[in-house]
Amino acid sequence: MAAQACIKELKRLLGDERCLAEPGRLLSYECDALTHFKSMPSAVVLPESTDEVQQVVRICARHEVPFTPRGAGTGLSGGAVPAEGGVLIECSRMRRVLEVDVENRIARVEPGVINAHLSQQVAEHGLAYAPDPSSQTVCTLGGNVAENSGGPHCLKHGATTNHILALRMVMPDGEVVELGTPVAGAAGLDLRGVVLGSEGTLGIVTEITCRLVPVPECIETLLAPFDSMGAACTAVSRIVAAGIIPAALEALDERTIAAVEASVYRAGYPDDAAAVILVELDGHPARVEAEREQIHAIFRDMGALSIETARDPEHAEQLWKGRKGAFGAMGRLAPDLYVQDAVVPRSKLPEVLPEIGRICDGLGLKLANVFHAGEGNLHPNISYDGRDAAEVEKVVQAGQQIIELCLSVGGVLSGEHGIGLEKQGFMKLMFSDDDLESMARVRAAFNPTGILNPGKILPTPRACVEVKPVHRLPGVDAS
Amino acid sequence: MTEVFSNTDELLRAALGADAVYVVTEGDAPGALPTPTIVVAPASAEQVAEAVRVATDAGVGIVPVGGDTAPRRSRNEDFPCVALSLERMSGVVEHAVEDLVFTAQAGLVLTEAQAAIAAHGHRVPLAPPLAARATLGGIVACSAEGPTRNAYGSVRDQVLGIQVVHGDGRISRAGGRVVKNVTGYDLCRLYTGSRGVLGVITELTLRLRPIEPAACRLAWRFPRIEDAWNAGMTLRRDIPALYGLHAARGTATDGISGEGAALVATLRGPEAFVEALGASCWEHDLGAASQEVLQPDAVPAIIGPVSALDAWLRVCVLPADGGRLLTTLAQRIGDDADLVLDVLGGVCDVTHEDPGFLDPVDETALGADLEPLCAQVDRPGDPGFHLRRLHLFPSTRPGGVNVMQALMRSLDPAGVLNPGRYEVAP
Ligand SMILES: Cc1cc2nc3c(=O)[nH]c(=O)nc-3n(C[C@H](O)[C@H](O)[C@H](O)COP(=O)(O)OP(=O)(O)OC[C@H]3O[C@@H](n4cnc5c(N)ncnc54)[C@H](O)[C@@H]3O)c2cc1C
Ligand SMILES: Cc1cc2nc3c(=O)[nH]c(=O)nc-3n(C[C@H](O)[C@H](O)[C@H](O)COP(=O)(O)OP(=O)(O)OC[C@H]3O[C@@H](n4cnc5c(N)ncnc54)[C@H](O)[C@@H]3O)c2cc1C
Repeated sequence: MAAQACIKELKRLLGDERCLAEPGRLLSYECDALTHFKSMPSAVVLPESTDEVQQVVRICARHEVPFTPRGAGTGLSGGAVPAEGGVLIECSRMRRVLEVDVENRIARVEPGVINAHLSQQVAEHGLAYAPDPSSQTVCTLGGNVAENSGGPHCLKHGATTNHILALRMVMPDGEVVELGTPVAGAAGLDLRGVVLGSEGTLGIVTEITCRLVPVPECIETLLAPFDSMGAACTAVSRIVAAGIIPAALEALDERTIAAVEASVYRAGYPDDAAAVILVELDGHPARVEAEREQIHAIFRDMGALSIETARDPEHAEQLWKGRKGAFGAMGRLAPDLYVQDAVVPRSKLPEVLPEIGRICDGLGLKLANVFHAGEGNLHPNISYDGRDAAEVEKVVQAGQQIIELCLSVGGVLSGEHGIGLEKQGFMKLMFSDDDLESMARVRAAFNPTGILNPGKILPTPRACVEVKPVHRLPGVDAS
Repeated sequence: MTEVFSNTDELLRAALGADAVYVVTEGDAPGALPTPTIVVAPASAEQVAEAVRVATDAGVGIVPVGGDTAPRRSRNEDFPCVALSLERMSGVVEHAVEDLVFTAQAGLVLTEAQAAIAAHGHRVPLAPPLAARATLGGIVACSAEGPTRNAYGSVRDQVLGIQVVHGDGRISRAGGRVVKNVTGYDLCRLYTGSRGVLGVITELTLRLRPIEPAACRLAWRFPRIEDAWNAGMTLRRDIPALYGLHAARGTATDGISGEGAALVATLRGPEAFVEALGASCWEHDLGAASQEVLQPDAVPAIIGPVSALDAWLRVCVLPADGGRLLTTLAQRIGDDADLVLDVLGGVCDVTHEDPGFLDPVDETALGADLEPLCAQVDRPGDPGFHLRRLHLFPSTRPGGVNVMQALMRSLDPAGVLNPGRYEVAP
């Protein structure tokens, strides 16, 4: 069998320690943080250099065994789920920071570097890596590149793609290419830009050159509770319309507040509020002050119950704790949690959120909202019990209705978690056949045989993917 | 006009209607094409598709034309082409005021777009040369960046959604009308800067920015541009919130009192912020010969770099290599060209009143000097742009040339779009 011969060669290259093929050692690799889709690889390899990745890829390609890159496996759309019997190339051992160029504010790193570690390593120079997904203490920069991940502070500073200057990548046939450049100016077609957010389907990234930003001179964190989500959303949309771009502009609803306050992520949010808005302003003190005054005025006008300003960095951290721990806190409410990730135009928030509430009420589902309000990026969370087939069915229905609602007001399927295996089926709701055809041709230009991470993003006949949906919906690890 | 051409003319008229086709028989033809030139001016994406199909069947190439501000250099003459003008596709589709998102047809001229939205306090964050003629489609097709790059990001960062017509006449969209989106492959970035070889851009959705309530410019005079750059690096280190920072020499400094080179800092934002930041800059001892506060719109050369694109070279390096770049340029190009170096971005525009100023330059020697700096060189309008030129500077050659060619083959199978625009060096 091709896979057996392939594994034999991979073992010869990497040894037993870095080529896992024993069923017991493969179990934790059958899915990412979206546990809905599972599929068992025939082997997991742990290369430590571009050269090793290249050799692994060449071996797999020669044996025609499909392969899929993986970082930390925190993805929420099934991007790192291997093709049945395929090889999983885990990049977490490639975790060196290769170069920090303080003067030019750039870093060159391997893809297995954990997001938060990069900022920690460059902090002594007064620099930071800006994109901050909530999973940042675990997820890898390689995974971030592949998902074009966002985070609360991406409102002002931009998502991952705005911070990645150049990539070294192993193509599906083993060729090593350099895409993008650390200097300004655009050389040729922007292949770097296409690889960002391509969910590991165009190549395996083995080196990343990224931008670093100076740590802001001044940071101010504000918290404003409201007695209705509608008023909170209108406040958000007025801040945006006023042209203020805070570093972060996040919202949590009543259920999320209750879950957070009952958990270890307790942040001291008022328990009588229907919604809280968390704002962070950063930059020059005079700018922060001017923006704070404008935001205060909008909040007062929209009937904020109070406006709390963090006294010191510890207090700010406390206020953020509830937001960052929201998923974890909600994980305690029920055995399973389904996280949606659609985006709507920001002005539509006041109209869309109550409608999502009605969808879930109508189906008798427990909904909680915590979201990147400043970008219109919703995360409706539905707690449910995956053992209850009828409830699972309702969650699926709610998911579909929420997507349709968001698309109907000019929204899109995903703001940061990607399409992966989860939302392929919805792609036709948003794109025409010709739109999808262009995407397919672009993928084929990189990955003509489709051997790299097959079956993701674009709707495909399921037969060639062989990923078995198990009888569960997305669950987020509460840890 | 050859047989093929007159025939194409008729075929296009038959397909798109008589009012959509005209012939330029003398003078400057659009897209620097030789006269007589057939110009087809479709009124919709569907008509663009129709025109592309007719041209493909006739074995004729398509040169998309926006404001036609591109430099008039020779093109691939082997492939007869018609000009496809976006002049009838200049409508505003939607200004989503509360969302700061703007959708328009690709033929809309930038200053007209700005005028349409200024009343709401918004601006399109693009600043190419010749903005009063350049179109949104042309600017995006060339990723034509200007001095606002530091404040707002690159052209690619502004494109939220796009509609293109490929070389096989298919119409496709990518992106959307929201500010955050990872739905499918990010083809907006691919088409931005693709110089019309993957598709004719017919519609764009762009991110808008608020017009800042206050603005201010400070200028310092130095004997040499190298000194201005040095001082600029000090400001860059000490004052992170600058909107723009440029070292300049020559006519670019007209309007600043005193002699020699200059450093100009641009500040924008809330009034109190601009005032406070202005004070910190003013008090900073940079060792300048003189310093002054300028009217916000003084020094136009720095706001919008050049007026004659023919006489223009752009070299990009890492910000800290700006000094070495200036030394190289002085050695290889001489001291009489005008220079504007974006200190924050490492982007240097070299211009001259004589369009032939680069002719005597030893390109090989310049290339050898720039190579260790990993410089990117842009000479807008070069035929066979980029790939051939990159051959000259091997260190800057982007990878994936095979992928680029595969992309061009699959999105423009007959090679009709801007033929010869991207070619790999022999
Ligand atoms: C609690 C929780 C909170 C989260 N919060 C956020 C958030 O705020 N914002 C956000 O955007 N996401 C968030 N996520 C989703 C997830 O963390 C991100 O998508 C992250 O970027 C995935 O990184 P990873 O290393 O875990 O990648 P994986 O899950 O291992 O892989 C993700 C994708 O990247 C590909 N890939 C991995 N490495 C490479 C490589 N070297 N080359 C090419 N492709 C590669 C994989 O094939 C896969 O398609 C959250 C997830 C959890 C569980
Ligand atoms: C950094 C920088 C790089 C530049 N690089 C180039 C370059 O490589 N080539 C060049 O000619 N000019 C280049 N320019 C100059 C450029 O032409 C203008 O700044 C800008 O494109 C003007 O738009 P326009 O409407 O006048 O375009 P035009 O002068 O009409 O067209 C310019 C180019 O874009 C193509 N084009 C125009 N509209 C469309 C469309 N709707 N869809 C697809 N393609 C279209 C044309 O075929 C032509 O190749 C550059 C400028 C800058 C600042």
